[in-house]
Amino acid sequence: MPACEGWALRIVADVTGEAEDRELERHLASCSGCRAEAKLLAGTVAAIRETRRVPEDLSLAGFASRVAERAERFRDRSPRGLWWTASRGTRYSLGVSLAAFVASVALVLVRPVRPVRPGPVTVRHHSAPLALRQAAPVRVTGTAGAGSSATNSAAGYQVTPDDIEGDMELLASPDDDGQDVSFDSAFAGLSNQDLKTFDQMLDNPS
Amino acid sequence: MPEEAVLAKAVQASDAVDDDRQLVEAFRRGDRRAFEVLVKRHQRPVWAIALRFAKDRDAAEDLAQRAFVQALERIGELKGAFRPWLMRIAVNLSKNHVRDHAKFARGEVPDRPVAPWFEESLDEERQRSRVRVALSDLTRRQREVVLLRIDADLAFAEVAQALGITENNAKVTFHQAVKKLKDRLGGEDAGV
Repeated sequence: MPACEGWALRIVADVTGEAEDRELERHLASCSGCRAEAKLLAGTVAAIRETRRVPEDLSLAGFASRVAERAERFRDRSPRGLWWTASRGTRYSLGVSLAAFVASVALVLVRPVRPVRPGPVTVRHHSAPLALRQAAPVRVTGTAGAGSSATNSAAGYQVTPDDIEGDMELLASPDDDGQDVSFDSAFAGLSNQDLKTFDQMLDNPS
Repeated sequence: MPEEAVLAKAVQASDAVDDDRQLVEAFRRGDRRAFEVLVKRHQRPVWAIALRFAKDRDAAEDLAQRAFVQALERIGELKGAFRPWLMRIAVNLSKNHVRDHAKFARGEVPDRPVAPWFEESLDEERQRSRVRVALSDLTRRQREVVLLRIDADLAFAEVAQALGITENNAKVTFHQAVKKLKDRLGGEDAGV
């Protein structure tokens, strides 16, 4: 005969000796199914208890002091302080925050810096070029870049001949031979050093 | 009340949660003796768990000591009652011990300590061996509940607290475990 529904857990508590249950005792007295169930469970629990390997007369003399000694050794070895006395959750939170901060700093420091490329710059020579005999102001459109040798003092960056393209007003005055001189022909054959010298002359006419 | 008297009273009180709390607080304030009192009060169930898993008495002593030292180390994490928390530490350490040493192989009868209390008949030892094998067939949670209830002698409410489950759940799990053991061993072999 099966045990009654609802009494099983009270039987479990009873056979493990957790608490006296007068109501259960009265029920067991009148219910053979539950009585059989209680007997079986009690026998199994007793069998489990038999497998315990702690003898009743187990002497643990000196155990507490040995634990204390070991604990002291542990304390001596371990770094103590607020960090270790804090709860694990607190330590975890602080650790995660610190790691995030370090990662952020590292990202900022390691991030590759892309060169800034300015837009087109208009360069206006401030005086009539002596060598070109009152040439009209030259508007030069270029970009800052590497490998330049001609220096524009006003803009403060390097401009190479290759950077000078289109949108130029050619020089209008004729040369000594009465020929018109174009910008290209005026600079043809000049080395970078010559161009630099030329530009310095423009900056310092005297 | 003088501190000595408080400690003496705490040792005598066998299952006083409030006294455990007082001792933990005293230890947190730096009183080393309070920890020793806690050890004396709870050493037996910790040993029971350790002996269940350890190969011999030396290994059990090591496990039991580690359980207390780890409790000392993690005392800042203690939120509820000390006893279930300590037993949970002991169970976890014991399981790790078994995993690391693989000495509690299925069906293996652990080395018996050389002590007079283990001088029983071969039949009795064989029967215990069968029960141990049957215990190893339980699910992890069922084994934990049985160990904490039987070996550590925790009440079901404390078992529930140690495992983070409800008291009813602990009872149901225990009931299922015992029924499974009973089926495995057979009613007659189970001593009924």
